[in-house]
Amino acid sequence: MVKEHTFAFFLGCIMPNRYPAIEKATKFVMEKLGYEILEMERATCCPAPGVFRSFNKFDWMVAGARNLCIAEQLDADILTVCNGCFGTLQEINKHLKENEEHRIQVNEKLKLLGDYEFKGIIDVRHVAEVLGYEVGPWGIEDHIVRKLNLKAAIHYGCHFLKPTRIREIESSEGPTIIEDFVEALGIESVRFKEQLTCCGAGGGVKAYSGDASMTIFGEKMKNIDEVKPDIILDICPFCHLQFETGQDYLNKNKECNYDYPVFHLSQVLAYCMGMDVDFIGLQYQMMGRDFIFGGEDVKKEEAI
Amino acid sequence: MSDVEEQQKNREFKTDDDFDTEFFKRIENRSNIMKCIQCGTCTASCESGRWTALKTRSIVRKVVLGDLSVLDDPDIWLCTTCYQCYERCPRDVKPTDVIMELRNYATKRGNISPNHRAVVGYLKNFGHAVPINDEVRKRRVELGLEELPPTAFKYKQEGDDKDLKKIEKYMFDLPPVKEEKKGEEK
Amino acid sequence: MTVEEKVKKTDEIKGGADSKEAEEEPRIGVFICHCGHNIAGTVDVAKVAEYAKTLPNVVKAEHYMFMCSKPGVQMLKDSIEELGVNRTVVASCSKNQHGRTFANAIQEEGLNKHRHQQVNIREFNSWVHQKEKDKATEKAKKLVEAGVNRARKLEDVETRRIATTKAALVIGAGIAGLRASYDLAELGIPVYLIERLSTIGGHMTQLNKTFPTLECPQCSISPLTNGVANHPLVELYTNAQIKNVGGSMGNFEVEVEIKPRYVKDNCTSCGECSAHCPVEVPSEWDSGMSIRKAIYKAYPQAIPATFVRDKKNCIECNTCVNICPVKAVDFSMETETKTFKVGSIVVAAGYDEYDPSEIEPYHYGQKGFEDVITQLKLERMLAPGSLTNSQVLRPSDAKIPKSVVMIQCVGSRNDQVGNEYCTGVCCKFAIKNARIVKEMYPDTDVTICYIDVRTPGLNFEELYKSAQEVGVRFIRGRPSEIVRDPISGNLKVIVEDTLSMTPLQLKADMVVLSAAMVPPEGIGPLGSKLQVLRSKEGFLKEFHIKMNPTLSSKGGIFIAGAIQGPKDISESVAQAGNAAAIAAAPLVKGYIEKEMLIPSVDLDLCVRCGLCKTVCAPAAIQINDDGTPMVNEVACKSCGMCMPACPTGAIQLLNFSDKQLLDEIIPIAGGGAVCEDEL
Repeated sequence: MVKEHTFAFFLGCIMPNRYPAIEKATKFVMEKLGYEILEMERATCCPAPGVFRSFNKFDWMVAGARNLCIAEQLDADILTVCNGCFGTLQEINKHLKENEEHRIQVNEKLKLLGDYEFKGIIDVRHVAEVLGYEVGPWGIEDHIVRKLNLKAAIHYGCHFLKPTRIREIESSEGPTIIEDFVEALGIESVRFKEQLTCCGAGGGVKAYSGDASMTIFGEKMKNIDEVKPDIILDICPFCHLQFETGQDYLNKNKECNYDYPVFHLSQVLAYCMGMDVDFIGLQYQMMGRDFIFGGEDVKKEEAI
Repeated sequence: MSDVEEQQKNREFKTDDDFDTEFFKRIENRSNIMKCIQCGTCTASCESGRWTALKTRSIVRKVVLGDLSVLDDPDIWLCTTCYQCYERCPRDVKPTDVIMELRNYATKRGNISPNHRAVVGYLKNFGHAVPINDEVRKRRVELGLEELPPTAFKYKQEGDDKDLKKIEKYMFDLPPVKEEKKGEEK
Repeated sequence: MTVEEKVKKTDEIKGGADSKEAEEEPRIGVFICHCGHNIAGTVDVAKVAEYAKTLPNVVKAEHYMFMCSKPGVQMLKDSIEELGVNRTVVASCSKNQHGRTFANAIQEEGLNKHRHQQVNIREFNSWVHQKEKDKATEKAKKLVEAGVNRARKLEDVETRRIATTKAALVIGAGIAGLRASYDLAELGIPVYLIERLSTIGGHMTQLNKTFPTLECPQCSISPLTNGVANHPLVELYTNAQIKNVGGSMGNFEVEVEIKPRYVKDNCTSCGECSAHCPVEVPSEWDSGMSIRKAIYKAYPQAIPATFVRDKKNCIECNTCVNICPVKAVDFSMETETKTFKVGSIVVAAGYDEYDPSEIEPYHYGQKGFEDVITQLKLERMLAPGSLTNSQVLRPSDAKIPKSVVMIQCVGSRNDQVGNEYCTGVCCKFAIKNARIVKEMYPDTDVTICYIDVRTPGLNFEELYKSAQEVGVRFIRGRPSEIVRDPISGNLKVIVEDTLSMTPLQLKADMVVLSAAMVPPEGIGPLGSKLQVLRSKEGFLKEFHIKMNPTLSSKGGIFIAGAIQGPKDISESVAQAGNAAAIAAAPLVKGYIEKEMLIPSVDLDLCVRCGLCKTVCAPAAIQINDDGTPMVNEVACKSCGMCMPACPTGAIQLLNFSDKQLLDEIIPIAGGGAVCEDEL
């Protein structure tokens, strides 16, 4: 049995190295909600599913298993904040638990990397799923001090829900987990055309062909712009990066004029749970820097 | 090149010799791949394919036929792995997994883009596909976080590089850059 | 008369009186068949015959080109006449293939047919050992020796006639059930026709036109519905369901629960009750395309014409009771249970249209996707007297659609939803409807998105061409999803035209899903009560897909129509006719023949543990008060399951006793030479 209410915090790459505010916000939120957050020392890139899995699936499994082993040694489930990290670690964890042949092969190679042996004793979780299903909109009410009043274009990304048979969270064709959760924060989800399509960054496409990636993303932004949300809300730093740099690219190269602030679910929740607005990190982002959260303080009713 | 050779090279038709039916014998999920009915659900689901040359259905078809030209096809690198085709395929072909496996074969042949090579380099050097920079180090401090996250790279900075040394040595060994012959580029 | 009494009444025939004394010296004739090259190409048949001659009690051993031919069969007969052979062994093909041919032949010569022993040296030997001829010959010798050993101790088995009950039960009054009922009745067999719903006619009455000739289905079916309803030999029970099935082939006892209509038969069908009923619910018969009242008749031509009260939705305001001019409405009517004694049962429980809401990207049934309908709903729209007055109107705004997209294979050919099969009628269905819509509205774009167009058979390719001619557009590709613009509410069908390799986004004012045919609701419990097997898709399984497609896995129970698998009307009618004919045969003849190949119990060995009863699938073993088992000779299926279950060997199946089987096994196992190195 792993420790309860404790997570091995898997950072990944983009969050700590590009959007540290998301890291800050996630820690703030989880600790306020009563979870213990453990550092995963010596962790590496998950490694990213679209690229490293594409180069060598076996090494991808070994490198992923190495990260899983670090959490196993902490005796805690992994908490991820990124769809890519979640996709890689959840899938490798599940696969190696089920496939003995691969488990033996992976463990053999893991010996080359240090004192690691995959045992298959932990689970891999995504912060959005922990918040949506474990804390739940019903449970968050007690913890929020500020309630927002804004419209968000919610972007689920791909690897959080898909493949549904492996993730086993919710249907990918009409998910509501995030809508339901942020409603408790006073956020209204605005539906837009082809909402559930990809941001265009994954699968190594952003690195392989910036043009293709931006074409796919351009359509995404066009559809979002039609409904004029206040913010774009994501649950993945890589999508986050795409929404940030992508808007800038479209403005500079495609005669667009987008300026939508982009937030990770953790950032928005941290604000609602009372984190200082300076730590939300909008000042470090490229888009929507003039955005003001606003919202109303929640008056805590006296216990009857 | 003789006229005959030239004509052969430009021919539009293919013969049995153009297919290697053995090559994909051990591809994962092969039994389902061979049952593909070419219904096009994958292509229609494909967000990349709406804007690019990627046609998932014909990639699966080439695997079924044993047409190895698919490994040199740049289109396989345009899949964003959004899994929409994987979710909807009525024959459970798992096209996303097929494409990623084809990329494994392509990589072995040296078909790997310079940018992707760079990403592998980052992993080996920094333990991250996206390494940190000075600007973000500063921000981390401002946010009250450790200047460097406690990942393998931090230990390397502190002089303990055994983790990354091993990763560099044993992981993601890429074949040398494939020499592009003139005029063969797509 | 109970089943036991009937058995007593039956006369012994064939083999009983004429049979030879069991103690007589066995005289065995052995015949090795070449089967052309099938056997002789691999096995040295002459050597095998020579070997057989050396075995005890063998008085004749020969080989011949085709034992199943007339001269071959004559060889058996002659050996009985000339040499006094009293047991025969033919080494040829399987028992299923020709065992009966030879058994019947020796019966014609006055020997009990169970004195024939079939040895399979083709499927079990020559076909699988083609590259090892010497070993195959050795194996054939062993198999023949085993057969001779078995033949030596074969005992006569009596065949009894069991009288059958001259009546049949038909479950389901759709087109297949009606056809089967009518045909049975015309053969002079009284029929109890059981229908789950309040009216008969099934899905066919819901249709607008039938393919390929675009006939009016009401016109086609009404002679049959009327013919069945008015047939003197047919008793029709609607709102009725099977509760329990007892007995076996030839003599079933079926308990049927009949729910009340709450309207008596003196109803004149005037409709006053319905007109004044304040409760409105969606009409099931109209696929929810219109509303009905809580007291209603499903449709004007419905049979029976008596109205019916839907108790679940009735608010008991008593308006109907008071308004009925003939005082036919009676809320006090109660559920009845009847027991019918019948000789055969025909199951024609039909199918359900697949519920496409399972395929999430099509959003069927979801808010904002009201204009995504099924083919059956489109039929209901087009049909005479429909809510839309036979016009095609979008459910969302009652406007004529300018573009209609039909999607094929919804729930068919789809491993993800567990339906591997092609329904086989949807292509024809969709093409027919597409043509009708296009002809009605030439300005409307009508598109069919398909994976493969399957239109085999006379007149169907012609139907396909006729739709192409009037301008129906065919796109080869399975749509990945139906998307709705959240601002305009417009629908688009996303599909690749695989033939031109072009991803398309088709504007669709209306989308029609060609949903699969699936087993009907309630088939699970019904199948269990009947104790018949189902296919993995959930339909009732036929005995043999080619040679016996209308017999179920259980004797005396027959299947007709879509309950066996997706079928169109023509196929259902043809199958129903066949089911009726073979269901009628034992009833017309008056008896079935049953071979008394049953177990006997050695009471000295029996320890009264009752295990034999627990393993007996047809429930043929009962335990007496003193704990000893008693075998019901009629119900016994000679499966032999009781034998290995018995811890003391007290129960022994005739001609399959432990001793007999041991004799047979010894030359194969003890001989040691065969397949030694393979083991």
